[in-house]
Amino acid sequence: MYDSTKCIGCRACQVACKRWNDLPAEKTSLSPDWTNPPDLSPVTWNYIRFVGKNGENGFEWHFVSVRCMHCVDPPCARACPVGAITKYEEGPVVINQEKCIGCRYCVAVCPFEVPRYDKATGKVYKCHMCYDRIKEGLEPACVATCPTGALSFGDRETLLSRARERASTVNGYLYGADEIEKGTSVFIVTKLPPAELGLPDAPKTYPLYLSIREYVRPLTGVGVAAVLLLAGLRVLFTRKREVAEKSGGE
Amino acid sequence: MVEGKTGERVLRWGRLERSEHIHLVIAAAFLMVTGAALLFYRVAELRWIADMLGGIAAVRVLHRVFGALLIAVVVVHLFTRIVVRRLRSKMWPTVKDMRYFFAVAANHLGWTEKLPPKEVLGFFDPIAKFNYWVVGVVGLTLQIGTGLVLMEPDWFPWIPASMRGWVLLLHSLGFLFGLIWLTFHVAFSTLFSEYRPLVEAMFGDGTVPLEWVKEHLPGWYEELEKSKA
Repeated sequence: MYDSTKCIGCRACQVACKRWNDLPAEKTSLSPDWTNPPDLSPVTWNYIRFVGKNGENGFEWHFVSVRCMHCVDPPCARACPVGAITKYEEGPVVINQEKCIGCRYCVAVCPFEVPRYDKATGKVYKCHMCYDRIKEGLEPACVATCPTGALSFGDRETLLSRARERASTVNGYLYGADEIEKGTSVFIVTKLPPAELGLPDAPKTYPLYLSIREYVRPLTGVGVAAVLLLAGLRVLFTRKREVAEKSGGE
Repeated sequence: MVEGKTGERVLRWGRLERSEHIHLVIAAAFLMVTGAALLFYRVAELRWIADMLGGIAAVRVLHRVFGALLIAVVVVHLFTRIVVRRLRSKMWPTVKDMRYFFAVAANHLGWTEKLPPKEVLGFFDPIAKFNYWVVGVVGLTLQIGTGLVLMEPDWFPWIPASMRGWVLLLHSLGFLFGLIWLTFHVAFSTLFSEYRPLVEAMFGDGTVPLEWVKEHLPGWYEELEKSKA
């Protein structure tokens, strides 16, 4: 869970992610809104977006952590043609790099536009919620590092009720509870409407194109079988008609 | 299309058409097999298709290689029809063709025993025109276009990431309809004796018996007779 009202934009989570996953730093430039680096990449799996707004007390900074939302029923895992993406019980959605073939179907279907393709390796990368640490009973590196407690880790239901409570306390919003039908395993509590912080207006229902696509496999078999059956029946009826005409003629 | 007479047989498919068709057959067959291997890879019982072709990574490469062959055939086709033949073709559809097409479809589906009069059938019958315009032009454009977007999204920066899910669906649906159509095309071309001379011409010397033309494509027969006169 990420509570943006507690975030101070120190970017310790970004550094922790880079260090734990041994990801190189990227050459970047100072952006006018202080967000740095400006976007996710194959070697940047999370970043803090800085959003400046004029509020009741004048100019204020708002922060939001941009990362994989680890959907409960991830479209990327359903779209992956080789089954390289797994949703684990503890919450993480992990790409198995050995299985990834770089088709980028996960990039195409992610409603949060998170996975990034690396041309050099021909594979796709994203946050895996430090699954290697979770398996050992540790918290994700970003959570362990956060100095203000803006990030927390735990059981989904417990965190969800905590996130709801917090959103109500700060009179804010909860993002991730019911996006993509079943929600996500990352919850974001914000004071501003999520869209104002640049969070994608993710669908509340499962992406229609994937639901339709799931019928393509069985329909292909049924279609081919139906055509062959039709052809067979037509041959049979034509033959019958020919025999009948022949015997009628005799 | 090249026309002419060679004894009691007339030339139906020229060297260019036969060459285009055989290259299409090769490209389509391999694209269907590799496409099926990609689409069905997660179905454990069908994983052998990809494994047989050298693994899923090899299948992707093969799919692109035969995709390139398909594009090459299309480029040659467009060049010869637009630049060399300047769009002079008997393939343009007419209202009569459409009426005939639906009547034949109803007959093939067993809804009616009655076939429409054959005088409408010229050099290209309505089924051939349907195959060309709907499957060839619309279908191939769709498959090649969506295939290119899926292969290299960076070439199409104006297509937002959120739209690429729909592109994937279109490509998959194209495969579904393509495979069903191909089954239909192969089954009906090979199982019914009335089409056999066309198949033999396409994979042989390109000629069909004049008698067959008289019976099956009376419009074309009339044209041939007129040109003879």
